[in-house]
Amino acid sequence: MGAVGQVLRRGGDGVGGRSLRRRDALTAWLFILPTVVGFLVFVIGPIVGGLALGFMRYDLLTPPSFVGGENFVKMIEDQRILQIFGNTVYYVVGMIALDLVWALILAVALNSFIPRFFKVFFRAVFFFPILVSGAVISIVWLYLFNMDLGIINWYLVKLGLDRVPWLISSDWVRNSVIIMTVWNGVGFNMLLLLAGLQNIPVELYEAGRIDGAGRWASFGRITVPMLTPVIFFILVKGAIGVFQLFDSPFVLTRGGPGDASRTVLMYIWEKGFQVLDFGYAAAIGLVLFLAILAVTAVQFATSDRWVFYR
Amino acid sequence: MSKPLVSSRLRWNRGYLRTSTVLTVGALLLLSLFMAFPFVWMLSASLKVPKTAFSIPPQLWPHEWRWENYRQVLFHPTVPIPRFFLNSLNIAVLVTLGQLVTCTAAAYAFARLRFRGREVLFVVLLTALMVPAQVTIVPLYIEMRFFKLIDTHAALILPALTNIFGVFLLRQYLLTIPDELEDAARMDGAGPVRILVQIMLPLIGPALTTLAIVVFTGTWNAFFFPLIFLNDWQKFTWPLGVTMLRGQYSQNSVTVIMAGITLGVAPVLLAFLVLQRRMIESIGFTGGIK
Repeated sequence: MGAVGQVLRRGGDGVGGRSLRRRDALTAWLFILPTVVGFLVFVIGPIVGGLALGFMRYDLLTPPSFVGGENFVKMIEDQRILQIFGNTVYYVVGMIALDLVWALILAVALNSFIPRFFKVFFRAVFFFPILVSGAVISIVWLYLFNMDLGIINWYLVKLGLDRVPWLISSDWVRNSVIIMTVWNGVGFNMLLLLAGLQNIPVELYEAGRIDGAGRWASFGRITVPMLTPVIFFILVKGAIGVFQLFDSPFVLTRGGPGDASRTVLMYIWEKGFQVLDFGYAAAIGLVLFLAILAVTAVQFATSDRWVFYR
Repeated sequence: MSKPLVSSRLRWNRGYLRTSTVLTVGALLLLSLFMAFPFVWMLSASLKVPKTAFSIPPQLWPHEWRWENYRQVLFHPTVPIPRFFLNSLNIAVLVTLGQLVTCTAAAYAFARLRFRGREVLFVVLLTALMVPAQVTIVPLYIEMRFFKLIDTHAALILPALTNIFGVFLLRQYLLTIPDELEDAARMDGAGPVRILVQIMLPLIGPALTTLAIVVFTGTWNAFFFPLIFLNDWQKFTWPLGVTMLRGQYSQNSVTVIMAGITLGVAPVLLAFLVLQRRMIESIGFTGGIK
């Protein structure tokens, strides 16, 4: 900080310092006012409202009434809820795992010793799907995944394999949602990992080579540990994101067959905006929020065991 | 992005055309075919005669180019695709401009101006990043209903005019600008507004572009919130509207649906080709800073 700045900032010493400070504070409050108002109305308001609504019965038509823990009891008795939360956990684990592996393969391939032209070209191709709306491009996948007419199955048969009931079998459908969603978003994590790879000092690999480390050893002992901060970020952000999955299963399957691919957010949508059981929907939202908080907390608590910070 | 040290020593040249390089490029080519395939199929189907869309064996290169599909979807009797475009554009532009203004102002205050409670308030605001927007959707809907904003674009625009993530991003950037610049301007009698507009804005250009790209594409692609808040077809955004092409109210052939989707993807692709490096760097930067 410059000497002049110190005088101006501390105020009192310089001429008019006091009024300058007051003017600063006034300007500051004016500047943050929109953000604070937006925060109060669209973040704090709904959180408080959701907390209250979770303990109420409300269908928009009759005034809300307090029902205590009824909504939560209902959740325990709800036959569908276990399957739906189970699906969501399956998505969280499956998507993050596939995304991480896929993104890492792409990033490592891009970071290898290839001509710059190819690098720029492939990076662009891998990245592009992320710019396209998941809901919209799911329509295209709907046709690709078609059991009888879909082109994916046509190629599988061509390769001598069986047709896969991508969207119509309860056992397969979640995997299909995972494949499509990860395809759509893998470019983002690829970029993060690529940046992480490029930040690893070459000296480490040279030292490893001197110590006799082969290609796989240096990948496992140098590359992966050096990438753990990025991987940690991907896990945290990925879990928060996938817990709120909606668009791709909504367009691909509408949650079906049965509830086989339904997510918690789809169920909230159904209970709230289709059945108009807003209290129950809000209660499920609260539980989902707690689940996200718990998973994030566990991730942070266990991170110092495996995340390697330089 | 820092260049690996290797590049200075082992510069790329013909002598280095080793088998491993060829294999890597080959593998990348296969991967990129897979990544691009849905778009290729979409484009191909959008130009086909309906009955050949699923012909066996599949033909990716249409025998007969049917541009009629595009005319049909643009002048669709029940699904007004151009209208959806205008709606999406309208919302995305307003949200992006709004956020650029509110986030810049707030970020400047948090990074550069002194006021009581600054740090505490900033941390409190950051907790908003932890609260998933979708989890608060039910109370938010009731709130919007109370404001009589259901089935208006305002229900989508107003909550998106401020963004804590944007404030955080720009604040991190503003903190890197040396104090001396600001002090000199203050000595000349410039107030905070003038300093922000004349000195800070030009310096945080890259961060503003990043924010604009992230916010614009996010708003343009949004599906969930428009689905909740809009009822009237005329007000639908593009992603919501285009899914209606294969809804229960209008049976369209797959070729026409693909033409509709291609029309929406093409501008994104064009913008991407022009801004490719800028976009990729900015996204990497955004992720890095989070």
